[in-house]
Amino acid sequence: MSKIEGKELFLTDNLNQNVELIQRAFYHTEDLVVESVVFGHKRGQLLYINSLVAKDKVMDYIIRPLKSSKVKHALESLQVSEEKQTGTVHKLVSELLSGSCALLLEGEEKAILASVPVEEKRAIKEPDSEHIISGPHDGFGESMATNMMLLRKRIKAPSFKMKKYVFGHLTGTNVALMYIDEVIDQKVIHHIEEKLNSVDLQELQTSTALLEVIQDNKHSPFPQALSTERPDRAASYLLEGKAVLIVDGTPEVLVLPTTFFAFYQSVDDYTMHWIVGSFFRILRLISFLIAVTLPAMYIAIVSFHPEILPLGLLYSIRTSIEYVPFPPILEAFLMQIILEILKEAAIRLPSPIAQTIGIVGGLVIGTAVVEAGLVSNTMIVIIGLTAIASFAAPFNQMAVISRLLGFVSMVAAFLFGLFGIAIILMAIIIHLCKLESFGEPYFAPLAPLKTNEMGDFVLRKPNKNGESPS
Amino acid sequence: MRKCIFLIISLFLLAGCWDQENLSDRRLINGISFDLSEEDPNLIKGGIRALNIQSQGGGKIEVKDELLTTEGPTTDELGHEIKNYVPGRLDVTKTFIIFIGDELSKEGISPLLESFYRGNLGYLPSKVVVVKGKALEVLSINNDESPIAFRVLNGVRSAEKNTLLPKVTLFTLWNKMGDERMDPVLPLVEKEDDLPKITGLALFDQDKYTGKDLDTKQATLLMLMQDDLGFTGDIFIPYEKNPQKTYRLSIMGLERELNTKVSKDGTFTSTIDLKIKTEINGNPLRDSDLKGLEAHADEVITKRMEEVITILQEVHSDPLGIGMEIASKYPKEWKRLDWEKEYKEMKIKLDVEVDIEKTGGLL
Repeated sequence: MSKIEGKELFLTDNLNQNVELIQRAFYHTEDLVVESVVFGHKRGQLLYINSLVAKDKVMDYIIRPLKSSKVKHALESLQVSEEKQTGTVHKLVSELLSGSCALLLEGEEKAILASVPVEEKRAIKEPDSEHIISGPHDGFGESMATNMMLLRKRIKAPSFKMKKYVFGHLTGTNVALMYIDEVIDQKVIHHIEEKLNSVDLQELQTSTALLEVIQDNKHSPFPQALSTERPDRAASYLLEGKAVLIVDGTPEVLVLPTTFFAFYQSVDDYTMHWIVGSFFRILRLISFLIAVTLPAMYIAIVSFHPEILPLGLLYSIRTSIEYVPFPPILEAFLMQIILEILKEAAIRLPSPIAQTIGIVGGLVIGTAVVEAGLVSNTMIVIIGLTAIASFAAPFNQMAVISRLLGFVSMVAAFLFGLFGIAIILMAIIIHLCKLESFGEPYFAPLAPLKTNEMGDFVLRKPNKNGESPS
Repeated sequence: MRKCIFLIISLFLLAGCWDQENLSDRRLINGISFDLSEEDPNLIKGGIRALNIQSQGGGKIEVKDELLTTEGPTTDELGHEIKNYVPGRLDVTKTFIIFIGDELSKEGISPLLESFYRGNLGYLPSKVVVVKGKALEVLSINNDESPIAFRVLNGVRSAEKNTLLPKVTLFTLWNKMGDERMDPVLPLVEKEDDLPKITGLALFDQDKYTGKDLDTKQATLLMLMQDDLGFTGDIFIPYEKNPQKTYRLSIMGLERELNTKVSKDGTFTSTIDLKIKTEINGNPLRDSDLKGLEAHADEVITKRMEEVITILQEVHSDPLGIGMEIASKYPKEWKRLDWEKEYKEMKIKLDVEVDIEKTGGLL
């Protein structure tokens, strides 16, 4: 962080020189507060960064005890929980940056550090992106400590351990790797640690950025770690033997390794009866297929293979596209893009305006576009179904990916008909089978086939005595 | 990598966007008719009904169709000719029914149908129907209005379900048409009071219409002998004491065995063993002597079937596949056999057993 002129700097026994040293390390920033205190007969300087420490704590736990103390030794009179001493400027600077204050005493080569960070955090709230019907309604926040607390409260095993990392030369972001040691496969944790040890970042702000650096296949569209804001979800994966990465400052917590099918499971599955849960799980997987292939199917059938339609369907499709001036691919692209724009526009607006956009976009544009003869009725139905199907995925990451793959398969369908769709689906499946998430197969338990793990795969496994649930 | 490039390039040799045929550019044909031309017996007169679908808004569809006729020596030339009349590409993928006039079918139907088998666009599940009289007359019923082809098609389909007609499509027809060992039968349609009516079965000798028909009652019996039961099937049998009235037997199950034996002097004898499980479904005279009803039904059905067999032998039509049986069982004898002659003279024995298994609550 701050090895000035490249070499390690140490404190000296000269107080003023020490203060000057530290101020230089901070490039003379003005929010580095330097307060003089007199302790016993020694002069001392108290240093902290104004915005990072809680003033009342500094007053209560440091200045007041020092003033009233009769003990000669400074360390003993301080009543702060975490006490350290350090002689290096480097260490001192990093501690000051994480909310400590440093007491420098005349004639001493070591500074006393006391951690008095200011704690500002958001209330624990249900995440907007992962609503569920029944089940716990708490969510992760921005503070790593709170997030760890939420997990620790759910898992009280002593083998639930945490490893701390600091990434980003500029941001110095804390990252916690948590896992249950007795459950997790040691090979997996080695793989993850190896990846984490190789991280060398200038800045780290989001968990996604970290994932992009550490994931095995950097070009795959499929997310190789599940990012969730739900502590119950994270905890259930921890119990299954996965690890969790918490990045300070982001509410999205990474679960790794993960599989494709994990993205189609929801907490709701486990709070409902297993038959109901399994039904919805199957529904979500079908909706993935619909999102990827439905518009492509339509294009392929209309432009290459109308003979596979039953006659009644053929009539109605034929009449609806009779006077549409565009080829079906253009129609589909047009509508898909309109839909994406509508969605994009509605996301960032406050909800009353977003509703208006929904009505204007959905109803007005939808009907007008058909009445103007630009797009066929059937196409509107197809695009609507596709959009709904893609939103059925419990994770937004997967929803977006399935729509994007839909575009690819539309092009393929336009070029080669059903044959093109077959090729695209094959390519997707080959890619999914080959993909690994932190050394573990992504398409498990289908490829490689693990029949003993099939219990909780498409169907939701009912809970039994003597077995671990989920 | 090189392999990959090769694969991608070879992709473009397959069907691609240049082969696209947009649905809205196609002219759907739903029925075709073939007749002998009146002016020149060497020519075929072909008719098609091309669909003209129009949306009337609000989800309503108006299906109109137009009739087009032309003359030419072969089916392919007819198709070529007719393209001059219709805009867009002719699409036979939804041609559900092909009508053939009786005069023309006596000359053989396989040259007419051949072009439907070639290429990949022929609709093989479509039905072939023989028309007593001019096929065009049936096809042109209700010109400009709802497609007549569907009316006939639905009639044929429900007749198939009721064991009145065998299930024949272009696909199943092909094998029988060209095979000496087995002959096809086709539904026969007639125009009656401006409406198409299914009147029975046209008997074929290979691909040539023999001119002889079976009525629908006989058709049912033929199908029983062929071991070809539809969804339901009814036989009406006159009472012994009062032949004016009939009782109705619904067929529930069928066991058939066809055995062909050759005697020492080289003559063939076929035996058809039939066990028919029935339910009595109509008994207006309330005859409660089930044994008697069964025995009488045996007798009546055997007699009627014998009539059918006589007709079949007379015109040398073999839909029962006796030739097939002989050819596969006695291949040596088959080779030196004059099947034409042998079939007319051979003995076909019948052994019919009717069981009335259910009587319902009324008897």
